[in-house]
Amino acid sequence: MLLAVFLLSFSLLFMFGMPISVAMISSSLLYISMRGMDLGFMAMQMFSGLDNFVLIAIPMFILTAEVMNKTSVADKIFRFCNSLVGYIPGGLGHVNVVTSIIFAGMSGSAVADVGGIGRLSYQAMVDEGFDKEFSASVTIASSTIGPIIPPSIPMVVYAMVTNVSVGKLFFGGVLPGLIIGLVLMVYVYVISLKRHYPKNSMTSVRVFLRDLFFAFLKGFFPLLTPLILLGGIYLGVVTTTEASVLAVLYSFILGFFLYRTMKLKDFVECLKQVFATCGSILLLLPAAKVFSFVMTAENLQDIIYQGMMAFSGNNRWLIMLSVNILFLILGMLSDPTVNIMLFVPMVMPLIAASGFDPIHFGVIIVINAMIGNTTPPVGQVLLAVCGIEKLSFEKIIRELWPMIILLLVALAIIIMVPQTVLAIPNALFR
Amino acid sequence: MKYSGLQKGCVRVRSVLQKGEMLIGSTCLAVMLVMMLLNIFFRYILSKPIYYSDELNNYLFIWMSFLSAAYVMGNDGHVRVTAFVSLLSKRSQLWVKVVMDLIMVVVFFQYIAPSLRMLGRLKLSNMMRIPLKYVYVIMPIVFLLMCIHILVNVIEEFTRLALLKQEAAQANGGA
Repeated sequence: MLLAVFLLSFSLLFMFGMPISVAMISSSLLYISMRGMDLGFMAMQMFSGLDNFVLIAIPMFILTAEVMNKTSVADKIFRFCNSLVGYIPGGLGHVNVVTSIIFAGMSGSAVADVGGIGRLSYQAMVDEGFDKEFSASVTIASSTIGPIIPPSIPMVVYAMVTNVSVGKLFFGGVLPGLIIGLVLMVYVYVISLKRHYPKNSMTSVRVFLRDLFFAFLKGFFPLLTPLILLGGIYLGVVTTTEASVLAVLYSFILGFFLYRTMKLKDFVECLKQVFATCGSILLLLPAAKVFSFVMTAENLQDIIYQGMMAFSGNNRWLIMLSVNILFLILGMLSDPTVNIMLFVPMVMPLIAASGFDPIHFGVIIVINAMIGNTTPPVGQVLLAVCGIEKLSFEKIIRELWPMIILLLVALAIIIMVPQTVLAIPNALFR
Repeated sequence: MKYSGLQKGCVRVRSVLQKGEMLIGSTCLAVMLVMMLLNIFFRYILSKPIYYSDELNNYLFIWMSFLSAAYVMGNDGHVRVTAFVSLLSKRSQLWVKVVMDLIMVVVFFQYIAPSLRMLGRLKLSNMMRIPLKYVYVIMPIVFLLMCIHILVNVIEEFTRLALLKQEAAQANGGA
């Protein structure tokens, strides 16, 4: 009975447009006062929802991306990619994907990617004569790579709720991110041949190599960021959180000393910008904490566990399929961070019992959540691009759905071949 | 406009609060950055880690997060689902929003007193041995800030409703 009230009140508030985090807090408040429990204790629970050293990496990753966006780094990466893959048919489409891959190594959130470097690629594509909707769709689909290739905010959250190593997860995301990039590039290639989209014309191999070399030199230092991050974590020199701070320092040094496009004032501006935006992600964590407290009190985990067992029996692939369908649906409705915080602990016993590796599963869930981010009705990335570029939702969908299907195919491959995820972390962490 | 005086006052309250939140919050962020860099330096170069660094950073992070959450509330920028509500007319959308906001005020208001009482039961922190009540005091503060920000949002929504009504009246008068 109480459980029904709790779930119903949450769904109602959620549907009528209350912020997700506050809807979670509100429905748990209702439940808790009906049970006559102490609200002061719940306030402490909220506090403890953020009391985790790993989480500090989240604002730091946002800050790194912000500083990189403020200095002209995005521009340099774009030029490098343009001289690298601009000659393939569908040139700028590939540039868009590859810049997303590279920028993914510096930022941990997809929304930051479409807002920063995504805009640059999109604009360049439209200027070159690509369809607006196609350009926007490539931008959206390739932005999913952002949180799959490290650093990654959803992975930090996953590591927190499951107690697996963030470092291993980060390395696990590298290959899947590249696979998704490759799949998208093949699609862009095929479509570009069909629609005769432009490419850069190559005068001679020598000019190509020379341009590539200079673009690489100019982009060399920003390209090192992911190496510094991952190298620091791999060598055990620093923790993930400290690595995120070093990334901030590195991006600041680049902007301040090397490119001289950033002044101290700009850096303070970045700090303020991060402060002004990170609250909407970070409030989700304490909210999910009280929400999951209620779910635990009502044994909802058990109910879902039983339900899924009834559906899938003992077949591990059916279990994986049902979990993925669950997360895809959740991803369409709600925020990735929330889904990971609330539902990963629920399905984790099931997944572990059927013999899947928690690192493998973590990467699967993050990819899954990112695909959910590109779909209506609550695809943050989709909505962000629609909002920024003033395009209609329906028209983008028409161009976007084949890419979403391709992303799902890539996800299926990654699920079925655990080595795609585990090869790198297993080789490194012995 | 009937609300204009009140509205101006409210907007001023909000901007003052947001300035304060921004100042404290971004300072927390800056201190975290410096503390962690110092800690890495101390650990590797002087092999003497700052023993309270992690704890201090955790607390600064929590303060920053909650203050930022309040700031974002002032801009009405928290992640929400608009797919269903956007099917309604503009007027109904605003009314739904007013109702949701008022529920939110009630929720956060209910939390203020219990979280204040909670402060009295807290002990000292593990590493720094500071009384935890000075750390946890952010909870009642944030609940209060949330209430104020949401109330300001509600007043703005009423102003928008009044505007919509005026426009509708003008459109009718013109026809």
